[in-house]
Amino acid sequence: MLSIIFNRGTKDIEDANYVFSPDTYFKYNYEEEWFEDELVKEMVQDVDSSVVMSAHAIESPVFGIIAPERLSGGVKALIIMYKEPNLIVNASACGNNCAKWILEIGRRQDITIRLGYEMEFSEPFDICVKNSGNVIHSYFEFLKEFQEVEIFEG
Amino acid sequence: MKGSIKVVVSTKKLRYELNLRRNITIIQGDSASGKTTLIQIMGDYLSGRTGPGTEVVCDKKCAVLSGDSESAISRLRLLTETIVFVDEQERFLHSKAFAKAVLDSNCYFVFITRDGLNMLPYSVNEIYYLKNSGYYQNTRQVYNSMHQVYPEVETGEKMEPSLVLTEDSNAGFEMYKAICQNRNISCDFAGGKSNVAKYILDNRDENIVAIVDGAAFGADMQSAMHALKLRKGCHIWTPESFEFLILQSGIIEAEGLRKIMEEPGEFIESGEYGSWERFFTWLLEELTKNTIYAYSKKKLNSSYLTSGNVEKIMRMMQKVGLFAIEGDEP
Repeated sequence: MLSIIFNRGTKDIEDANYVFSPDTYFKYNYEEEWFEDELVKEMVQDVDSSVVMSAHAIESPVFGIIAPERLSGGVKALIIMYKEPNLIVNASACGNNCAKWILEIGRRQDITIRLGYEMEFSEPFDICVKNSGNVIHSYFEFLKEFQEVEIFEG
Repeated sequence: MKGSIKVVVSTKKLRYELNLRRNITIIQGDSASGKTTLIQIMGDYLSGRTGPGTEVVCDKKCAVLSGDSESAISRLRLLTETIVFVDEQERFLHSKAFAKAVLDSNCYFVFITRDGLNMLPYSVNEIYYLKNSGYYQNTRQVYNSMHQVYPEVETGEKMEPSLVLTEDSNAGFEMYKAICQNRNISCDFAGGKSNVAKYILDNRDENIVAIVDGAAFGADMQSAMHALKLRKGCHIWTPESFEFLILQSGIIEAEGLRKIMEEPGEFIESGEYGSWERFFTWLLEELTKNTIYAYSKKKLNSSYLTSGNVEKIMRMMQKVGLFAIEGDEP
């Protein structure tokens, strides 16, 4: 199941498994075999409009052939969520065009993400909000849960 | 710094055109729309690493802030009259110390972030996404331009609320309450701008029109919009501020005021006013000092609540479709 930690304001998550910058984490830790996975290829195609040719070559419509390091921050975050589900990834690196993939990864395995904005998830979904412990199923509940989170300004 | 500033960033393959209209500009939007690439190109160019083919054209100095919080804030304090870019991957972007340094600065800022920066008073009109608009003028450059997330367009739809909601109980609330009383409409306040969305969600059976100070509501706009979308008939109106409305309404007359109101950005010095809302409050206080209209934000001077003056504010609301104008078809 997908679990979300809502986080608003200046205070960030203090957890050894937290990945604040998926872009930086990916640069130093990605593994070549990740790009053999069909779901990874689909996500790269859908979010970045790019084709995975191999673990070393991705065809981008703007840049031509690029290395995986030049994928968008959003798709890198998705790949980390999927391939390293023990990590808590900062999903604010992902735009709304990543929402359906986060739900898909959450359907396949347990993941926990950090979110600082109201990403547009389409129903139906089951999401566990870690802040309250509630499992929610509608976007209204999602918005309510987000508003219950204190904005830390300390 | 004041006025609009244009920034053009280009490589052989990409071209970005930004038009910055006030001190804080936010860029957000979908993944893979080129936000981080923009900052990377800018950083590489400013570091002198790019060589020919890459250009940043701007009348002002540009800078990219990155790295640890202490270094970034120290550097910011040394910058003046500069366009400062910060990517969402910089942790200091969300810190209180950085927010303070931003408000103390006379620079313009471009922040890439989807999370609200609640400690900074930025405008709902200066939140943008980047849109790829095809190739630029017979070149191989993919052209990226800025588009408002919350465009300043009139829907043409008449708003007939059952409840008018304001951010707080200050002067604006007193005026809107007077207007609502004449029309048997409820008027309430949320207890702070960060509570507007929660109030709307908690009152889903009401047709709410929220009136907020657009000049400083940027961090809360997304939440409010999501909440409003859940019910048909709910709207948000984002004039710069209540003080802006008074100055626009004709209640106060002063030499040069019309020119300021036509192009406020040409008069508002970013180093003195963290937001346009603060400028308009200052301006109204200055213009009415020692007059019957002496303005206080906390408590509305009763001179503003005469039927003629209430009518003037009411007309401004009607211009945006809020309440029917007398004689209009219901």
